[in-house]
Amino acid sequence: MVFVATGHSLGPAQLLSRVAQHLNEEHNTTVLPTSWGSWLVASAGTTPRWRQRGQWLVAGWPSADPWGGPRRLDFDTVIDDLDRFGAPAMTMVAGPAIGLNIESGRWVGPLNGLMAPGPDPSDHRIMSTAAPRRHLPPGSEPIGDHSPGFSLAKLEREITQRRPTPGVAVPLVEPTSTTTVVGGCDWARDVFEIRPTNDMLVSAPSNLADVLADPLLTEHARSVVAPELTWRAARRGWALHSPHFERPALDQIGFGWSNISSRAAQ
Amino acid sequence: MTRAILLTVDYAPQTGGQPRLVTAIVDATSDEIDWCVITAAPDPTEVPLRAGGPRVLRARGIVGIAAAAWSQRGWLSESDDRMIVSGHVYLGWIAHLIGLVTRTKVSTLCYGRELVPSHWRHRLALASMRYDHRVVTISRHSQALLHRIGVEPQRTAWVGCELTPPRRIETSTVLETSTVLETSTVLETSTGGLRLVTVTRLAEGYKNLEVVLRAVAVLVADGTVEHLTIIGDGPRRAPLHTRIDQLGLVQRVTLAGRLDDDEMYDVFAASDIGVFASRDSVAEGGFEGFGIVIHELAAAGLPVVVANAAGAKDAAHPEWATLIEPDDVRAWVEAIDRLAHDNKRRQAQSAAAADFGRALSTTVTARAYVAALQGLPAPVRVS
Repeated sequence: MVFVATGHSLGPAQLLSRVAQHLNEEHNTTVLPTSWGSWLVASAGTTPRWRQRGQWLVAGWPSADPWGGPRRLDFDTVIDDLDRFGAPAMTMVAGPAIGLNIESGRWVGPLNGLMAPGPDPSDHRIMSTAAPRRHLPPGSEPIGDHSPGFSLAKLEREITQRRPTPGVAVPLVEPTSTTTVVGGCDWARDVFEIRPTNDMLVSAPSNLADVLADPLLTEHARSVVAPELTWRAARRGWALHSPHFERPALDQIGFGWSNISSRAAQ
Repeated sequence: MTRAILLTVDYAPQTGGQPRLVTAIVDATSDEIDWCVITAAPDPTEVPLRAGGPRVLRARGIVGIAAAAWSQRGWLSESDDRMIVSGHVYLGWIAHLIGLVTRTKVSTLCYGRELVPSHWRHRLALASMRYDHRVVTISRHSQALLHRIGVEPQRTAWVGCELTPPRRIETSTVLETSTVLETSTVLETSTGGLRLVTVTRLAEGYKNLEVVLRAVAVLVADGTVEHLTIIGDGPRRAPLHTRIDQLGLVQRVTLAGRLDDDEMYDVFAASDIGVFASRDSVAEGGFEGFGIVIHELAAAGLPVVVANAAGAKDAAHPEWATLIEPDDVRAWVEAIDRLAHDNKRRQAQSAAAADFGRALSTTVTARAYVAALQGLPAPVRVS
């Protein structure tokens, strides 16, 4: 798990005090001043999951696979792309990953939006790759049109077909909680390890079609259960992919979600 | 001479790949087959039948097609060498009814999306193909769909859709362009980025234009791409324009609308690379049966970057096309970037594309279709 925080108009000590509640002794923390304030990165585990070079900081588990599969990108490749193309380069990355321009203090996120606003966006922001909420970067809103052939059930099927093949099931049982139950199914038991890496998980809910068919359950899964599972995975030092709720770099699928949203509104 | 009834929904003067193919098959083989085309496609400007040309009966709707086909059963039966071709799966049972009455074998010509059933009536229509003499389609992808719906593999064939393009580039033009590219490094000029072009309906999400726009948004940042022209129109034009605006590409992307052939080839001539991004969308049930546009882009001497999906895989040839994962923005960026910075590769692909375009022949393809519909070995295809 890795935290990145920015504090506009805050000194390093002020920023550290603001985010201290989110850190523990497992985190190796770096905090540095800048012209606009300061930035902080805190990474747990033996391998730092971040790199800063020049004006860019990249953190998380950047993947070259638009569906979040284990085609890991190294940080230097991502930073090379950011140097060459600027912020749009993050379009080519799937999360969970984030980028930060430390000269301007501006964040860039991949289209699948695996980064989240912090608890107090007004004065500083925390972006965590173990994101408690889905947060799409600017410009990634779904196209609000409809296709006559579109089918919600088929969208679910397409996602299921394209997501990475899960390996051995790794249920998330700690800490115990009942909030992972959606539509009568405990989603903590539907979390799988992605091969060949051993530090990433993918959620593959077995009753997804039923949940997607019910706007209330969908919203509950998206806003409560998926973040809960993400947090549990982070506590174990693993990253969690939730392909059904954190869409890959496809406006096409965003367009699908747009239909889901409009159904929910009806 | 063989007598044949062709039942088809689409036919000239309609435009688009499907009517073009059906019309081409009839026109190119009318010297050896006495066609009676029964179609729902209207043509208010139709001139009287030309001598030796196919008879075209224009009917209203499926009932009208059925009535017209019934009226031709005597004419068909007069020949010992005869066949019935269903040009659309919805007309399959009508074709079989006439075939039963006249004791004539029925074959079906099919394309792509209509092979994905969406309701029970559709499934019922598709079931007629299980009793066909032959079912011929335009790509391996569509052929696999036929097998999935229960048509015996040995009764199926795919031919491709290699039609003579409205225009093609001459060798001298390619060489001239190549010379220009050699003497001026594309990226060194002030507006020297690549100009991309794509042609597609703006009607379905599976056309995947959003991914191309994302790739362009990346590549314009360092000048690798100068401009993208999207030729075509449809109900998604407004949302796509919104997306273009959101990505800051208003000056870089042109939604050109529908263009006539001359205008379209003017755009091709001013472009460096063609792109064709359609994906195979399970959610939409949408995909490309083939992608004739890929060949039109190639015939204009353009290397083409093609999404590796559905029938487009058969339309694209490695000598001039780059196949990439349709959903992978990084792959799109890398493929276009590689062509931008490798002039020799781009020139070679351009020349190969033009060569391919010159070899395209509607007549050869049409004869291959007729042979396949009759169950005969198909003539060699262009590809």
